[in-house]
Amino acid sequence: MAERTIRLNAVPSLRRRLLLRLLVPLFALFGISGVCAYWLAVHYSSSIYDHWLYDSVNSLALLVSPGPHGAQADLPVAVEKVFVWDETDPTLFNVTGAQSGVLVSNADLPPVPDDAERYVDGFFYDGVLADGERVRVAALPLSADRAGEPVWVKVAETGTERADLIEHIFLAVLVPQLLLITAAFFAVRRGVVDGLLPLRRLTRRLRAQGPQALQPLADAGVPEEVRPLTQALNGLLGRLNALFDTHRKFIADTAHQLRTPLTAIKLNIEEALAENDIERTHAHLLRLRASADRATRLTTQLLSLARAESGAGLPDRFQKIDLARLAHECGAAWVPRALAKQIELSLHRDDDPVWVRGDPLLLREAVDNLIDNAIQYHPGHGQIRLDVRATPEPRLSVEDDGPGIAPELRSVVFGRFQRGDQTGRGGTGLGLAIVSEIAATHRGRVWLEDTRSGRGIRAVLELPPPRDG
Amino acid sequence: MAFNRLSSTDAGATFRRDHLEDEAVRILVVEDDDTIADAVMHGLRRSGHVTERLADGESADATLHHEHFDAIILDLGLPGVDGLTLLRRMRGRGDNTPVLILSARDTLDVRIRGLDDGADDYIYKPFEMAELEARLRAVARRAIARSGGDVAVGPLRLKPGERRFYLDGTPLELSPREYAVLEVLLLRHGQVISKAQIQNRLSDWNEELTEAAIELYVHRIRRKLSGSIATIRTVRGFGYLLQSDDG
Repeated sequence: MAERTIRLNAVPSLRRRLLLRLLVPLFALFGISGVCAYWLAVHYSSSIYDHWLYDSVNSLALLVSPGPHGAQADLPVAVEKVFVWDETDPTLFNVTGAQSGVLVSNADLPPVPDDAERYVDGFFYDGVLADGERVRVAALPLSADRAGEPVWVKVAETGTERADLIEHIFLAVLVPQLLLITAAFFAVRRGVVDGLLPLRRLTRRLRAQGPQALQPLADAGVPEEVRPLTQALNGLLGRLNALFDTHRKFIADTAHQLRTPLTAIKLNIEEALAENDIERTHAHLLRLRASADRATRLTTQLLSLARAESGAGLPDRFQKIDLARLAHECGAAWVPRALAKQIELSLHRDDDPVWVRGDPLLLREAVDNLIDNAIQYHPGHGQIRLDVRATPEPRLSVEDDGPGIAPELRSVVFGRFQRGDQTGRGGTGLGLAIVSEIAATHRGRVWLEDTRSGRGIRAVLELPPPRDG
Repeated sequence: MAFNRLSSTDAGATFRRDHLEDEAVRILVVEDDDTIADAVMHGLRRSGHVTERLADGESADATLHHEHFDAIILDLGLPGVDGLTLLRRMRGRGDNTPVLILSARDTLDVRIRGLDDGADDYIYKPFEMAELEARLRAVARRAIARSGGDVAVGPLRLKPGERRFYLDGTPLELSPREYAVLEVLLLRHGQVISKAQIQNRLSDWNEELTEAAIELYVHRIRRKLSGSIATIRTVRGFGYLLQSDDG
């Protein structure tokens, strides 16, 4: 039983809790009321018996009168028979004078103890007969004025009859009580189970949901108390569905995007294999390399995006970072590639550090992507300028003198697989999505704006300063 | 650092221009993937290097106990003894052969751990042959310079034994500080070197060098290089880049 209790307690159960909370106090109340009823019944029945005993002792006292030598008791045989007769308990009596001794008696009754209970003119007490039987005694003292000498009139009865009555009362109280408890137990249990039925129905409905489509739960039949729960659940299901949709679409897009360079790779390999002319084979190989580059770039960007996403909600990796220094380190690595396209990459900053709070790896990724993007979409022969400043908010901007992006497309290009131009010049359409993801993780912003010269575009990444200023 | 991650045809072209030239060296490739190992070795041989390949850490460890290589290309994800363990063992017994790490995981962790364990440089998969060669060349160049061997970039040749530079075979007259500045640029050829890096390198002189002073030295070196295809390019906001051609 103990084991069972422990096991049951392991998982909190609403049903068990309700049953316990309802049944334990209910049973306690039934128990207390039963005890009270029993006690009252016993009390009143014994006072009735006592009263009868007192009447008997008074009746017997009427037979005592003063005689020539103290007191005398006149008890005709017929009267004694009537007086003594009882179906179960013979009535015992004893009238004893202080001087004359026993006047009339059919038993030796115990003397009146000091702690006898007073009742009107007499006393009640419990005593034991010589043969060991317990008796209830009513005793009435008669004064010398009244009886010629002090006389004790005592009437007693054995406990058998009273015990029988008490037993009857006990049963009369106990049996209905038990029936009541049983009925209450079933009623409460039924009520609790019925009351919790909506929850079980809800569970069944939730369990029936497949992983493919998460349907919101209908409000119909859901009790008022459970409704906030189902509504919260529906909100969660809705967000999950949206997330699943995004991911499904993203995977489909990714597969599609990878398929393009892979197709080009396959075609060019076949062409190259079929070609005898070394010049034309070389041309196919060059296209092959461009396609492989594109696939490579795409996987790299996808990994980068995955990192940016998993970086969300990990502010414990955040630290104080000098954005100017970060721009220097990232930018320096891009210089050779920019120069290869005849693009001059330059950095403009004050000597003071520009402090931000962030994940160094993710911020590096963001800056790299902004520069990469600028180089990628630049036709060549031009300038890309990095600016880092601390006011009004810490920000890094990457400005180019390339073709620019039409104003209506500027918010679109932050979406995944969205490019500002449709030339597909090797770009994956993920770069700005990655930057946007990282900016959001850092509670920063990224946007595109016109340059002062009107040519090209400026991408601005703004980050909140560290909390300590 | 992001350079190697985002490869492009344009970038490949810059690296293709100079090979390791006469710095032919003996290179051990420790890589378990056959396709990658074959391509890498093919490329290195075409540049005139002697290559050997081992496919697992255990045999590489055994071989390195009794054989010397000028440089090692080490894959991190090896069966058995992994790359970092092998590297730690080598450095533990005082083997300072230059090591270029290949890694499929481009996280900062790998880079930091690799460099802490004594790697000279790292490159992430997928990479291009030209990129690999450029990095290997830089790694080997520094190792060769450390051991007193000649290092050349285009027409410019450093003879550390003589503490002297040669341009097209003619000795260059450089002051000790000019020599030090050019040495930094040459040993990190292909990278943009910041003024701070040059300042660090010249801190042996026990006196603070201002940025203006560095600009002056670079200006003087440029004058002495004028007429050659070796030039020092100023990259505004970043520093200087030694170029050995018109790119």
